Amino acid sequence: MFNQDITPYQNLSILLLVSFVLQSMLMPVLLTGVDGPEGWISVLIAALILFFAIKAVNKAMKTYDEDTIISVSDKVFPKFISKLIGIYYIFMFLTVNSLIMKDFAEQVKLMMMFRTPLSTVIVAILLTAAYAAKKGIHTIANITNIVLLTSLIPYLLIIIFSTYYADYSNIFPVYPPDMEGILKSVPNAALSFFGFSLLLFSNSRVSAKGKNPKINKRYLLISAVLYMVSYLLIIVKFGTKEAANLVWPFVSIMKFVNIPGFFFESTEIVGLCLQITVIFTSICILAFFTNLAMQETFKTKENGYFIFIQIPILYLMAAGLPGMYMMFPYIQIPIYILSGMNLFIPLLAAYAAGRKYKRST
Amino acid sequence: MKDLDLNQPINTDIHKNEQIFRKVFENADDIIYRKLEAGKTKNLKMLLLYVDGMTTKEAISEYAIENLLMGLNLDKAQNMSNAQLEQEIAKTSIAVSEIQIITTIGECVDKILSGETVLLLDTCNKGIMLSSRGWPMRGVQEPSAETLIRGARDGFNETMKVNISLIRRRLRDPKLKVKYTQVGKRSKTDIAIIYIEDLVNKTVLKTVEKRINNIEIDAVLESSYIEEMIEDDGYSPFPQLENTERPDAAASALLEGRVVIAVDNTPSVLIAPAIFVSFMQSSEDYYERWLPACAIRLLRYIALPIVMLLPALYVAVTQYHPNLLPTQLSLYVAASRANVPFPPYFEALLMELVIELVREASYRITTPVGSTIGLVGGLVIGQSSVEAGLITPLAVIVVALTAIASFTIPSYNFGATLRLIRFAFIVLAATFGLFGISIGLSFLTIHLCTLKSCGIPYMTPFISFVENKRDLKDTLIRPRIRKLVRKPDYLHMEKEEKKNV
Amino acid sequence: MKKLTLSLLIISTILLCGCWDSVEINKREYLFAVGIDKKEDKLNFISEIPKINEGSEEDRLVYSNEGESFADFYHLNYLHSDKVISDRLMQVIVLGEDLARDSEAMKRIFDEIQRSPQMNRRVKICIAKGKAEDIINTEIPSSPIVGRFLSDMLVKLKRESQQDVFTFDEAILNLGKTGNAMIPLVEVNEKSLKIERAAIIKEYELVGFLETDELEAVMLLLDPSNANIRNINVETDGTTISLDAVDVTMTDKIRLKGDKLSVDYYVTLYCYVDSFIIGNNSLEDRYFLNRVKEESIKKLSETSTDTIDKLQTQYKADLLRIKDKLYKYNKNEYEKVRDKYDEIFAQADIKVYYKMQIKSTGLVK
Repeated sequence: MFNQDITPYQNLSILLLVSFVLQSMLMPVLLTGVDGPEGWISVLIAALILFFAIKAVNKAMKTYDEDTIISVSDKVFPKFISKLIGIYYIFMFLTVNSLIMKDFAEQVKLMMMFRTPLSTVIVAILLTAAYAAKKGIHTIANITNIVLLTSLIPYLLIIIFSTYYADYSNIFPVYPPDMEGILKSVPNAALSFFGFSLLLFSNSRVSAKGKNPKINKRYLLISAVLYMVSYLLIIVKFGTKEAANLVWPFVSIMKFVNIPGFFFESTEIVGLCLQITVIFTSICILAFFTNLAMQETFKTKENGYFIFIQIPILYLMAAGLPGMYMMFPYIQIPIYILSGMNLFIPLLAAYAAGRKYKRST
Repeated sequence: MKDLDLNQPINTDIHKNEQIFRKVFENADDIIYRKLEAGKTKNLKMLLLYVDGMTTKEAISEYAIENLLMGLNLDKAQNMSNAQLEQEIAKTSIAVSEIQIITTIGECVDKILSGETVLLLDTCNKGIMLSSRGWPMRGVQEPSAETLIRGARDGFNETMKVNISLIRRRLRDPKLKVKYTQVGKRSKTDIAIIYIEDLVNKTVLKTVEKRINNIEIDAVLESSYIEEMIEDDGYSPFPQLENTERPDAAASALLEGRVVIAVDNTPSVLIAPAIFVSFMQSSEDYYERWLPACAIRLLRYIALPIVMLLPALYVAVTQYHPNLLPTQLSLYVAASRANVPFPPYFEALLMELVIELVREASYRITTPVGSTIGLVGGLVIGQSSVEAGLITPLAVIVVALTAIASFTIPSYNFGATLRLIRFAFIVLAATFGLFGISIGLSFLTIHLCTLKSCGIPYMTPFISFVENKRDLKDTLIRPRIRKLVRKPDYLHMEKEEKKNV
Repeated sequence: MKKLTLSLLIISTILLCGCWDSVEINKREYLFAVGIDKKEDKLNFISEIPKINEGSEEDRLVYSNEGESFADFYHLNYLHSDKVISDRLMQVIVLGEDLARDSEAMKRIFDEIQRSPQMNRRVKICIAKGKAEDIINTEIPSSPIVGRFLSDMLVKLKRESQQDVFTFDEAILNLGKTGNAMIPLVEVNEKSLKIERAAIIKEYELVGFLETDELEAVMLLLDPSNANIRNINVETDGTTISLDAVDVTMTDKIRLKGDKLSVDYYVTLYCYVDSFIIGNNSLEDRYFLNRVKEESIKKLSETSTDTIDKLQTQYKADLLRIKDKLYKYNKNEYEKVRDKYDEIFAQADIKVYYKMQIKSTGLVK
């Protein structure tokens, strides 16, 4: 209780929260990728692939339980490759973080603060998250648990009430499935399980490391269920054709929340307020892990001050990037690359670690 | 006095001793010097020193002096050891509750100023402290700030030993330990650290002891001095130590494995560690029936966001997001604001300020007139402002509701913090609407998650609600007494104890 | 010192921010109803704004302006009013008949509404018989705010299952799924408004209207569990009897083989007797009741057949959403005929088989 490590379930909360945010951001890509309401099959396939990948990663983590993926690659790969891996993860975290910030700032601006400059919204979110990121993993884990209880779970519960206007037959047809679309959407779905990349860093900070394999699997299961349920909720409300047209499905679905006796009329604003805390938490988690990646790559003793380097980079990337709706036509290839690398690097590291362990024994 | 070394031993010459003490207590006319010649042979000179007004004179005059004059044989007192001297005094049947042998001038000064009587003997380099503390004190009365409908009506008073006895009456456990210490260079205030040996969290205890021992201050006039000096973050608006006037609350805290700090001259005790949920709990929760108690506790948690956020929500909704309200209500609010000259945030701030003024005024004014202030403040100012068109009725309702909700928070300190934070949220709401409120809540969450109380994270058990799921039982609702079997997991109790009802 | 500087920086940043979005609630004008008519190649927007008087919002203002789109209209209003226009409380959008017949204009309007972050997709929608301006300008003594009147009426009609679509969201979803939708038709009725019929919208163009009984017949097949079949008035043996179907169950069988679509609906109605004749004891005679049932079924069948015929031949509009069911449950076959579905539907064999049970005669025999 008095140390600076996180508990296994705090680790689980971190992974779930960030994955949920990525899933809500990449949901439109999944909805457009499949011609029909079978996108949940892509999610299932992605979850299965990651499940098997997790098994290999868990094995490697048993040997290197105090190390992150970068430290492991340092030990099993030549220096040049491990540096490249480190830079890859730094770049990936920064990109994803700035995409989340940009996407969410756009939502806030359009739905809540129409005349406020986008940069003001981005700066407000960025500074809040940076303040938390500097406090360390223990504080961030505490925040995540609180936010999970007070924001994410109520948000999900509220969304369920949108089924008042739903047509459940929209989940058909399941057969014949659009196999090409489903397979092409598997990398999208796999990237949305962003916790898979995070656990390569966070597992080393867990106090009871023996529970990591169980927690990793549990994360995959819960995240997959959450993803599929969210997908199906959107499909039953809007139908495939209209859902594919939406830029922010979760915001659109919040407009249809009908809680009997609830007096608020614009429930999307209530949902956005809950989402603000979820988003800022995930941004600060990603900022912290970027710090950690920088620390491990550049071999420094501390990582708190890296946040000062990150702030301008994140701001410029968030301000400079076009909105998600503009990026949809071009986002497919980057998703394939990121998704592939996110799977390939840990598997390769696990394989190399396994071989090194066998040689040493 | 500058040149006087208080660590010097007591002189064998009683006249010299008297001179020293007269120098130490120069211009202190309430120090009494009573010279005696005692013993069977009446040739042993003695000097009694005490403070007029801090001692029970009867204890000395009737029980001590009389016996000493009649029965003491101290011819060889100089050569006796402390133990022998104590034995000799015991033979005189001196009916004083506590006797201690002291050897230095400094010790004598401390004892005299603590209300004890010091007896000095000629030709003897030892002094005898006779316990004679007795000063005018308030009796055990009902706590003023923590009244209950059902529950004990005794509360702590300014005398630390009385307070300790009130706790001991409730916990007749030999494992209940009381450690005395003194803090304050000039005040030398007595502090007692109370804990139950096999229940307390040892790390918390060590932290508390260490921090108290490290206090360097001239005087401790109230427990808040101690609180401020030993808490983890002095700049935080949130209290990190609990403060109670109720002995039953203190006893309950001890049974949980927490540490109680009693400070002399303070009619309350401090409890460490204190986490967020501690401030939302009241003793009455455990004395009422289970279901109503759960409902009342839930009500408090509902009142919590009302206290913090309702005025800010009013500002955000009227300035930024009117579509959040039902259509009818939006139009009504718009109509009621038609002739009001002030913007909503100014209305909210003004009314909050008025409420705080009324509240402060009611604390300062004596009880008979105090209720009038409430009446004047509430009815006259609020009603008149609405009729004059300065503010809207909705603003009055919002502010009044907030004020009422703030009274449901059991802890005054915590309630004061929430009231302070409310102003910050109003400013954020005026600037950024609901987005500002969300950002404010985010900052608040970060701060609360960073905060610790004697090393225990402030937001326990919410921050690890799976690991501490047993502790969650006693947060939003209270568990059945039968199920209250474990001490909070967050304090890492070694043993499970059943509370026998 | 650092903390102090940082705090001052943050506080000054907050306080010096422009509060760009801060508009007081009483400084806004809330559009309750908007009517849109086509005026040559532009659109004429008629807006109803309740007047905010202290204690009463029953008075209203009606503004009219021409523009290319909603954004244009708001901009013009902005220049002509001391208040900020707000469409966040919009209750109903009334589309004029001329506008509804122009598919391009309809597509533009629908696109703007669904794209708008401020306008709620749950805004009610209806088509005006004639000009939307007349609807908005109607003075209804019992309810001066037309927007609220229409909104409440549409909610009631939807709840009673007398209309299929009442919100913009439903309209656009139906148009997306099947290309067709039935949007309530609002007409002026002396000193009030009435919604008895529905407009048939096909591919964002108004093609025709459904009368009250036709609408009832379609709603019975679309939403049988909430169907509102009131007053089945039949004459049997010289007496008029009135029945009310309180419970309806329906099953359907849809078969698509090649280009041949056949749909069978099996509807069972559970009826109560609403009114008969005092003194006539025929209700105790089950043969009489059987005759009543036969007459009622005959009447219902006639209406259904005529309606379905109209939909197939006159409008080729699949308002029964058979297309949607084919897509969901018979995708393979549907994909083969997707492009020529309208023709398939026009030649489809759609039959409705009714069964009736008279459950109760009310409080007397």
